[in-house]
Amino acid sequence: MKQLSLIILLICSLFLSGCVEKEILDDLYVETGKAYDYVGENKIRGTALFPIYLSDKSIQNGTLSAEASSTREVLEKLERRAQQPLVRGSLDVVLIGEKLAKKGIIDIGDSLQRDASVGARLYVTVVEGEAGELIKGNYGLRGNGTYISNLITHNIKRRELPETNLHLFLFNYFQEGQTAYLPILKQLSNESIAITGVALFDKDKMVKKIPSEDMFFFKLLVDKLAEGSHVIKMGKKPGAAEETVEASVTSLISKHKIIIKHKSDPVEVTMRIKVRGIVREYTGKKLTPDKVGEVEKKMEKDIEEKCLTMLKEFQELGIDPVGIGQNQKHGVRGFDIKEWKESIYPRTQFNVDAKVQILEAGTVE
Amino acid sequence: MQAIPDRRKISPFLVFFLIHSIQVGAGVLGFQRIISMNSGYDGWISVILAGIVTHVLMFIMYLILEKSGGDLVSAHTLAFGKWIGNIFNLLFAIYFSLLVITIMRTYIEVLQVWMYPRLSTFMFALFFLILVYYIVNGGVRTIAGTAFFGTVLPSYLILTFAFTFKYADFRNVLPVFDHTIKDILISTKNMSLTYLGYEAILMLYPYIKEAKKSQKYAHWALFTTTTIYTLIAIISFAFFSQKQLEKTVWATLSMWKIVEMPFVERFEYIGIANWCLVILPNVCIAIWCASRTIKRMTPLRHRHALIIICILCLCTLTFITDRKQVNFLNTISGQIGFYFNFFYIPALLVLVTIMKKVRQKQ
Repeated sequence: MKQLSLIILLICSLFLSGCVEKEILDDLYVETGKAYDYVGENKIRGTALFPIYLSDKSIQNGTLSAEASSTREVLEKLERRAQQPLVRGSLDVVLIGEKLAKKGIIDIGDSLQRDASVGARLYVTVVEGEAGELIKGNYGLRGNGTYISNLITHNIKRRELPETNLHLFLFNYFQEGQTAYLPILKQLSNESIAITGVALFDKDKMVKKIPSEDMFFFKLLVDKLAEGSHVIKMGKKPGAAEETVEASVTSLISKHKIIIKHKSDPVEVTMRIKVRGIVREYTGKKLTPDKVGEVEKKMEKDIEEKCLTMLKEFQELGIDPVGIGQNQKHGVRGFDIKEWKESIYPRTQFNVDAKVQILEAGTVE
Repeated sequence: MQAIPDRRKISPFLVFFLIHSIQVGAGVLGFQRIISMNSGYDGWISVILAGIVTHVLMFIMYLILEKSGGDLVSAHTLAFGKWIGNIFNLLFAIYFSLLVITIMRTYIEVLQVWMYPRLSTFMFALFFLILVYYIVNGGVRTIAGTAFFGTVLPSYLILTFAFTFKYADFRNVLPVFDHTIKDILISTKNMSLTYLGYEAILMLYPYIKEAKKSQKYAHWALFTTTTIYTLIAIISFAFFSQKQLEKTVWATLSMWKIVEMPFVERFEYIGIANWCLVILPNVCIAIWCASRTIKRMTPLRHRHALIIICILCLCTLTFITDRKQVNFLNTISGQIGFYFNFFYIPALLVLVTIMKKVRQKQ
């Protein structure tokens, strides 16, 4: 009996391994990027990007595009034209044309979320101009998908781009009292791309763009921990009227804290921002401890002013990328999102309280 | 009932693994949505409440077992007599078979949605049940061994949830008690499906050496399960926004989507494959309970009863094809389990107590 069972078990494992359809990597087009553009009423153009591995170990960017009314239909049309089956398992980036972003993108988000083979860490970005054009370029040596995803990753980790991915986008979209944001890319030439700002969404429609020079402040507002750098203009150089003294400060660690007086009327919100950084560049004569203090003061003022204008702008547009509504919800029982949106949020008072500490000023004095 | 020889009995501490592994099954992959439907971010309170209730029921079950001096079948005979008792025995066997079907079908559905859309339910179930037959045939000791490995080997999975902390906002659960008590209680009821299975002790009891001592371990098992569920619930609430959670059928699996390791691009595939080890003892224990009940009430041999139940489960499994039916199956076994545990078991305790007194007087 024991032996018989053992034999049955062995036979099982032999047959079970052939139970489902095999997928051989070499016989598939593994999509690494996808671009969607607005073409007309109820019509989008989808472009799929997949690397083709050549025999001399280089990678060629293969693209296919098709027009249809939904993302699934695009995929079907693309399949009909692809030599090998397209799979979405290792999708790294999804690019969305600016026009489409302004019309609403939740259908794309939904289709990505619904597909079990798509990861949650993929980057969704908005593209200035046509996304399909951008994805057809030739960037780097490791394929466009990897290039764009690396570009975004290092900008999030070390520079001014706020943390973003598909999961965070959907989290913010579905969270009450918060709106979503995505990075914006722009094609500079056939070989290069740049991050040009952050797109702010109202529900799933893009309503505002934060230019790249303000991204540092935006990151301070939305990310729990932020890095990045900022150039401070210190005023005219004594003697030379044309040139100005500039100091470039790189933030090493920064934290923000949102303090809300939940019960007061109107609701008062204080953003407490703490930045600890180092001076990377100084164009003035000598960086004395006094001057360092001055740089700190000036930077605090910059942060307070910029952040306050930004918060007020968000308030006017009725969007809330910082998640102030959400924070209000944590402190109030029976939070009513409608009441918050219609009557409380528009009257909210903002304060920004920044504190900058310069730790080092480099290897020279 | 014949006395069970000592060599086929298990040590009392193994009850911990048996109870814990039958509780943790396919339900863990997606219970967050079910509890957050009514009580939102307060759902974790329901998880703890439901956990406390399982302790009370476990206590009651041990009382029944001690009073009747055997397993559930002896308790039924004591309370209802042989014939009516057998009707209840049959219902109990059907209930455990239903659990087997629910667990297996839910897991196969996960496989079909996440990994292999073309996987045949019949083929997978057939080979899985052959393996289950092989294990159950080895007796309670073998099952306990499977339960041990089914608990220990996949336990590393709990560490992978640390990857979500980067994106988690634990203030989501604030303010606490933002829902009415009624909502929280409804969620507690819905949560009870995920906890089901511990009533297996009703059949396992005669197989435990120094059975009375095992109660401590049974309670520890329930406590561990409650802790794990509460942790997973709180982590998922921090990770998903509420509306997102309401749309996510398998929140635990969706959380694995964010896991990033240098050597593995997508962790959920490893997680799902590992889950097979969790499902295996689950199915084994449930099917053993069902077949043991049949064996005790009929002249059939245990092995034959086992084969019959395996075949019946296999046939039923293939008839359930889409999401709606799987959902219905889950709801119905949750409901039956709820009424069975919360109403029938306390009632049985009362009956057993009364009947014992009556018999003693005679």
